[in-house]
Amino acid sequence: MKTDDVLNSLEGMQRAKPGRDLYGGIMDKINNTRIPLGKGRTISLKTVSAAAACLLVLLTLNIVTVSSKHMTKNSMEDVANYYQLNEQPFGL
Amino acid sequence: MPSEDLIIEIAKGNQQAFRQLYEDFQTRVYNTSLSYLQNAEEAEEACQDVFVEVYQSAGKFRSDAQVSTWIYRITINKCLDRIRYKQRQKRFAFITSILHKETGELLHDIPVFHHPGVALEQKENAATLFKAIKELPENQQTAFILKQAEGLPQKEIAEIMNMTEKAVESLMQRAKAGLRKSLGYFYEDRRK
Repeated sequence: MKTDDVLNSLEGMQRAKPGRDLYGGIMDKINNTRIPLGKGRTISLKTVSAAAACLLVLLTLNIVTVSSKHMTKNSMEDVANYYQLNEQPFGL
Repeated sequence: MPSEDLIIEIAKGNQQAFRQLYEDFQTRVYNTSLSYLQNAEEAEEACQDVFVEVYQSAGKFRSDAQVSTWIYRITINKCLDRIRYKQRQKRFAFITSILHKETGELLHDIPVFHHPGVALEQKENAATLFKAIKELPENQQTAFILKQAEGLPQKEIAEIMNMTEKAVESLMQRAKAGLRKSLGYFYEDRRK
């Protein structure tokens, strides 16, 4: 029967052979593949220090910006009080 | 040197041991990949992925399984990952365009695969069978390929697939029934 012939058509099949440059390709991949973290790859202290320094600079800049805004607001209030600008004019 | 010792040496970074393991397993990995992916170029790419994984994970190999079982498992996973990725791509491409812009031909027709190791008189039958294998569910596909194309004993297939021998037998029966069904449709269509 035709279906049985098809089902058994892989019997006696010869093994196919990969190309000769396959091993070279594998070695290229091994040398160029970045090993994912947790699979034996570590981050150097230099990279960690650089990231920490960047974070510190960012944090400092934020603190400076927030505090300078606060200072500006306070000094404006001081000036207003000095010239009595906050008082109700004509006692209304 | 036995494969288990080669793996220990590879974990230490011994490239000669890796070359030896490659020589021992390249044909099995390539042929399994070829049966799944049905394309020589893709099978070679999958082969590369398998051996890269073997090289990088050699330190994690547990000797409770055989090296061949472990390598077969990696091969199957890599091939199935590739097939799933291709199916996702096809689904997306099918939404965007089904016809070639210039020729107007269908873009997603399954190409006919002729295995280089099949005898000339069986070429057409084998091509039809490979086309039908693609339609099977993943675990039936795996059982059928390992049994029919790789010629592995049921016990080894059970170890690779992490199931009982009876379960493998049942999978094989379902795979054959599925293939008979789709081959039946195929020949009915041809008769019309």
